[in-house]
Amino acid sequence: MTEPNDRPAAPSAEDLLRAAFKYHDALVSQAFALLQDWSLAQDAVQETFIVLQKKHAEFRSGSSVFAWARQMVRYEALNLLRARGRETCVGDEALFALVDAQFEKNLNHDALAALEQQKAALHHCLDRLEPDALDLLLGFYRDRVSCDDLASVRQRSVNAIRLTLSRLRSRLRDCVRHRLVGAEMTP
Amino acid sequence: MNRDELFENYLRGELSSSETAELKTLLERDDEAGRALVGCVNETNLLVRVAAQIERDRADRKIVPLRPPSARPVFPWRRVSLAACLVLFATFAFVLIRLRPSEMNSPQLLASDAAVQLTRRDQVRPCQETLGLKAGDVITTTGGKATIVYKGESTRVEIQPDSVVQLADAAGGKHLELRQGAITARVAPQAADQPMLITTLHAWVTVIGAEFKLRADPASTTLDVLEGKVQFTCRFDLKKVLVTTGHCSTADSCGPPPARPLP
Repeated sequence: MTEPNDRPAAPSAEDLLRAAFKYHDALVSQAFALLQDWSLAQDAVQETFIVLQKKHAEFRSGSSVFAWARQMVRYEALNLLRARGRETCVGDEALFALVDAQFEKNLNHDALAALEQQKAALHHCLDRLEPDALDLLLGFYRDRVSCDDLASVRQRSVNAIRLTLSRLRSRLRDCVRHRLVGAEMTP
Repeated sequence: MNRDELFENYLRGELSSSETAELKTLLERDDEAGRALVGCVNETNLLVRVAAQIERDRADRKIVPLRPPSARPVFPWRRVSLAACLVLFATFAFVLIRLRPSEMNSPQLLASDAAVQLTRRDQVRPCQETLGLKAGDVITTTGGKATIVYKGESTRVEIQPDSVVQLADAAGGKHLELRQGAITARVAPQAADQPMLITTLHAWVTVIGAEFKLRADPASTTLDVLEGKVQFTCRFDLKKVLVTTGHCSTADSCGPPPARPLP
């Protein structure tokens, strides 16, 4: 019979946080998908790390830190949505569950490794963008400024803004692809 | 609304009731769509995160210490050096344009069949003659075949019937997107830093010189290498296989299996 003091000790709060922080990008992605707001997603993940530190003693050694952190992110995201009064009908809950299930299924360790490679390639590609293009991307995707408002500020048509955003994404995808694939090709 | 637009609107919280229902149905019935959604969210998240980091770095670099005003008049070194750079650039551009072989490696479409259509900037027209191609052009073959050739080299891409191919921006080499159907390609040796790239829904095909067949449908992409070597990369997990002469490989949403001999 196993005595309680024979169980492996739970990791320290610092060790647990360090382990969880390796999955920061993946956790923000998951939160972003659930909350549809990048800034809120950052808040949810920050809150998750705080809770992880407080509850580190509850973590069972040998369990997956990523799986545990994912559950907490899901919980924090749900709390944020309820606090903002956005849970208005069964349909939203159902979509929340469907999206969460896709991340459970598809955000595996191979995908996590791919995420790191993509991030490095993307840094190279974004660093070469003009400041105006970077500003447009951040305005649309981070700050959630509408195309109408972006068009008004930049004195361009809405269609021109949409086209520019589409071309920028396409250009970045091509650049990332070349960085990831071209460098390792051997003739 | 296509799938990418649906995902983008979802991430911006701008889905209508019918679009929400459409997304739910898609995620319930199509595993591939689920993977694509995760990919889209990851891509957007990284884009915002890295762009924000670069924005902060650039802002930090703009902070420079003020220099005290000098009592002596300062020679306009900046203007002189800028003028010198412009002159050098203009000279270089002039020399390059004069020396550059005209229209080298520009793609052309050879189509001898009325069942081949070219879409350029949303305008569709049948093709029955040789036509210069531009980035963004979409070639659709219903009953007939079409061939893309590149001036100055022997590279040929034969587009099979019932196929759709788009020319992508060729900043770093030749780049085609096989949206559906099949192609048979003979690619002349390319510069190592400018391989030919063919993308499908499931894979990236990188070629420096080879002869191969590529087939893409919604479920999978299959590569048969007849001669040479081709790098076959799964778009979802970035796993690569090098497929050599007489071997084939198939990629679906779960990644490419190892190359196996052609049947």
